Amino acid sequence: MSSRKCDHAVERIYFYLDGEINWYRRVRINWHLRSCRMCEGAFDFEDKLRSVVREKSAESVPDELIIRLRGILRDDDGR
Amino acid sequence: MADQAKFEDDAMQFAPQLYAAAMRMTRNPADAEDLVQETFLKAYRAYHTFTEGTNLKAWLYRILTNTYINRYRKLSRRPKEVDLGEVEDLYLYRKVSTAGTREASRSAEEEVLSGFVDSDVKQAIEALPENFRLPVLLADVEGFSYKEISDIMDVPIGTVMSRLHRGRKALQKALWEFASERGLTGPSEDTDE
Repeated sequence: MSSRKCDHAVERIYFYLDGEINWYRRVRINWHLRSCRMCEGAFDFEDKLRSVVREKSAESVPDELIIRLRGILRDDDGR
Repeated sequence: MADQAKFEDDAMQFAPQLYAAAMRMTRNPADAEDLVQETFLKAYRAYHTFTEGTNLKAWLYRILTNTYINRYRKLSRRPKEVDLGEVEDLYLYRKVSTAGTREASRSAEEEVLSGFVDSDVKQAIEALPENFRLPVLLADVEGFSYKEISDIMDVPIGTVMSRLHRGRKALQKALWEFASERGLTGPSEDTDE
């Protein structure tokens, strides 16, 4: 990660992965990633890391909670 | 104006996600259940103010977040300080990929990523100071946009972006510590003779 193009891409990596970047910048970064394996590796790693964080932080919601929620909604008349 | 009778049908699908977020916020199942319960009750009572066709998920998260902040933040008012002085961008990637040849580093990356277990990730998120934890949770786990997070947390977008940036660094630092502790990072310790 040394060229100015690399710096440019890495500075915007989170905007890119967050989908918070305009199409023109996205296209420019895509071009760069195709020709730079270093940056491509970094983008790929961050993207996978995010999937890991999402998948591994899932919880299974207790059945009793769902039952309790439904009960509360039916019984509630404090509107 | 949304019909209260439809609330159960529309909102219940988000209960598992809200519960997972509540777990990361309160860090324990009993408080998480209470928080989700209170959120649903408040949302139900306020459902007539919800504009149908707008983002119900974001609306529910806003109620969840506000309820959490009002109820639990009192317990830990002073935000914990995190020293991110030396933590650079792409912290984890740089740590993992410094070793060895390109091919070796590729497999080291895979090994680290696939080596994390649920409790590593959960603890790493829960260890974040609250100012960072909420944006990271909302962006990286729930997939909300900066604008949505800014609405949910009632802070300017610039604040969302800077907290996310620092929160992600802190998360990566914590994950690196887990990876190091569990020997996911060192040279492989094959004892095959």
